[in-house]
Amino acid sequence: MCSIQEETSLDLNVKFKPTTKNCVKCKTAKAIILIRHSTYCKKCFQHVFVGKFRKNVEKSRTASSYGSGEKIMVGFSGGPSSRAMLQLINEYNEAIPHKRVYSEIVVCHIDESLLLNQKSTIPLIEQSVRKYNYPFIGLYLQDIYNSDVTKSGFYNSVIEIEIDAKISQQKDPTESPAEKLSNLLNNISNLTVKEDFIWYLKLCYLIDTARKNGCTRLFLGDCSTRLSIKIISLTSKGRGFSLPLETSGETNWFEDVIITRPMKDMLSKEIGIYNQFAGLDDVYVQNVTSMMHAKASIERLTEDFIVGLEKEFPSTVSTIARTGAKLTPSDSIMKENRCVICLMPYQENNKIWQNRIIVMTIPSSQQSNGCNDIQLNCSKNTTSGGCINGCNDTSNDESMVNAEFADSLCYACRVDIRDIKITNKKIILPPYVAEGVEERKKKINRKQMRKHIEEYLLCSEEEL
Amino acid sequence: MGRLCVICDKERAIIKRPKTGQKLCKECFYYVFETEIHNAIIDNKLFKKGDRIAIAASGGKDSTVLAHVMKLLNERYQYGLELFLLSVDEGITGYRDDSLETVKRNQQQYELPLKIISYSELYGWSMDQIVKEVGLKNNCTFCGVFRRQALDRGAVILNVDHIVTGHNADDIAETVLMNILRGDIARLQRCTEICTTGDGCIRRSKPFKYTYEKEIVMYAYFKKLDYFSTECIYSPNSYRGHARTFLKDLESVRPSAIIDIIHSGEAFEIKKEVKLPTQGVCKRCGYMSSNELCKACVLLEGLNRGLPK
Amino acid sequence: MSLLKIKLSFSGGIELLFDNIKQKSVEIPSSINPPNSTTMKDLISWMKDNLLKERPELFMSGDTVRPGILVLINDSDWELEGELEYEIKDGDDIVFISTLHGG
Repeated sequence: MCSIQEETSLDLNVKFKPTTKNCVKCKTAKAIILIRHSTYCKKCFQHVFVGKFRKNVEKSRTASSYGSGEKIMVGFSGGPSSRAMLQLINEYNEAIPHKRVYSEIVVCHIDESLLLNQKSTIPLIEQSVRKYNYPFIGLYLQDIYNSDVTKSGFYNSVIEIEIDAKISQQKDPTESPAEKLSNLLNNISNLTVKEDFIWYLKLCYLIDTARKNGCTRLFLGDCSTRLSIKIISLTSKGRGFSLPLETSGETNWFEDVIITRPMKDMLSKEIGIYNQFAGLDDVYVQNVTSMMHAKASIERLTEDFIVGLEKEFPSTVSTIARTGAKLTPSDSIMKENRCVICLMPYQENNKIWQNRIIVMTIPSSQQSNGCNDIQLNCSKNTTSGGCINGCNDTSNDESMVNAEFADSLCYACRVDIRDIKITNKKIILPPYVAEGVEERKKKINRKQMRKHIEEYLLCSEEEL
Repeated sequence: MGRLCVICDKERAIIKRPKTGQKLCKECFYYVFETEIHNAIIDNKLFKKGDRIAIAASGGKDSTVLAHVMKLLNERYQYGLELFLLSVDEGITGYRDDSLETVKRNQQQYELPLKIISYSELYGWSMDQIVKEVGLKNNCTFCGVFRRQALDRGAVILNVDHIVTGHNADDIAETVLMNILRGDIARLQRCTEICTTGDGCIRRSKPFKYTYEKEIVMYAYFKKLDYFSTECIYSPNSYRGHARTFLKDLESVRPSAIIDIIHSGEAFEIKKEVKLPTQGVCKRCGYMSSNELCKACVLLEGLNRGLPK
Repeated sequence: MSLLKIKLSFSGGIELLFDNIKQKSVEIPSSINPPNSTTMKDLISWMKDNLLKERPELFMSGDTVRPGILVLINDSDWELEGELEYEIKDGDDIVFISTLHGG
């Protein structure tokens, strides 16, 4: 059967050999850079590059309610994008020294070296940004297990998942943060899941740190190449619902901390060349999938795919980025429906949807073998609530925790957890997860209480 | 000593399910396969009692299994539908003749009425003639446009309420990726809809929306269903080829990726400021079109004037 | 056969494949494939044979560099200098920048 569905003639912008020798902007100087289909001289290239940054930053400034004098945090991974971004922020802020745009700039780096058994990256990174004289915060990823990396500032209860998939809530676990993180990630052999978790742990830690330091804005260095890769990889992981929040130029989802991505219109090529000309040295920081083959994880595969496609069809990245920019966060997003692991919004009933399109049991037996992933203690009764996979069982306290936890996840995190097979001891999730589950439970209880007495209330929730 | 099926725990497992990796026995596989399609039909309220449904039949695996499953579910759950087979003859010698023979056999096997409609009788041109005229450059565009209209017109002749096609999860996931890659925001919004309607255009549904291609082949294999399988001799398109390779790689990294992509596609919402092309009707033939003349009429005009398009 | 003296620079992580060295001066034959002058294509394959310590697939793809690796020749985009066909001259300054895994 013909596999071609309705196709329009594609304007594919296949790679061509440029014929003009001069810069397309000033038209006089000799061109030395090719970006997509345009050729630029060094000066014009730098001018256009800085211009893109300014345009994005100005846009968020005018929309901001803080006017001038905002305190900002720069998420600094050490890679070329964040390196260029920090330089640009510095130049922008120092343009008129007595009229600084940002009252304070804090640079934050999260060290993941524990996962690779390597030396800490913090000293090198700190040194590379020393010349800016900004306060520097170097964090170790494992410290996300500290009870103060939570909304309340002190929460020492955690969710544990044991080797037989029993999910429970425990207080004051004795292991060190490093042990807890190692344990969590060593039990995840699936690299896609590992990468996913690490990303969201880092994001959560950054947001929390920004909040605790009074920063109202967090700058992240995602460039257009990185964003178009993310658009495809998030789609492939079932994160379409939160995609607009993770790839837009500005995100208000975290309310008190606005995420800004000023590098979103620059290709990784532009950034590489800008850094080279500006003499900016980046520190190469390895992550869990560095130097691995393409099929190691979804992120690696997608990066390979997009970068390869861009080489053959130079408008690929810009087209994908443009398409992503036309997407908007759904109207159906509810603030209280926040996934407790990735902190992104989740759709109501995503668990039910999943069960209908992936049938795991037959009517004659509701065996626990039906859920084959995080093996849970399902019994044959069917009442409301249930396990990660939707088998219905709330016959005891353990399964209550199961049910609450399972109901507070987004589709993609649910898929991730399903891919974890615990082989060694147990995994402990950082306290912010347990805090999230409790918060959600409280909100639901409150909603139910309110429903009960609604007809007698004369005020709204906010007025209380 | 083989492993036991993880669902019934009684029979020996003979397959590993592509969608989930579960090891299942034959009967349980049939059950989950058929039930998921039934769930998709019910949850999306695709049909109502008494509906006349045309099954787009190409003789390939998707449509053969589709005919089989539609008939089976119709009887098992008493949907109360009247089913027909509708086949399109593009006029490609060698390729089409064989697949049409398969469809005729399907008609016998499933005891369903069959209607064959050809490009020649609809447009006055067969694909062989078109290729002779325009070469191999844009022939797929012609075929795609013509087929879509051909199904609609055949459906009108049969007087049916609804067409079902065998588009499976792999097709839809691939289309989602393609639409992102080439920036077709309008199509991106529509392509995950299980049922599409349009004025002057018959409703179409894809009951296999969440069904993996591999599982369709598996089902056909075990149930010993008869189908014709070759790729059209006039394909393929290289850009889509890249997307397809990527999708296959994704599936090997994580089998649920296909469903995950569809889930993402369903969640996409477009900013209100984005302009989408409006739908009107073709001046010449009345088919729906965003321009004065619909695609098919434009292409036909080009053909008839002897100009390759 | 005469030699060409050139400077090679690596950044963005690509240096890890070359013994962690960020800059290196090398001498290469002026005609690796006689009678033609040494081109970028020749240089890349020469680098694979003589400098690359591990994982050639992370540096090369077929005859050329892997997608995602930028090449500058004397501060100019190699895509404007003829890419693989560029003929190397004495004193050339060639930079290889990896843009993968950035951020």
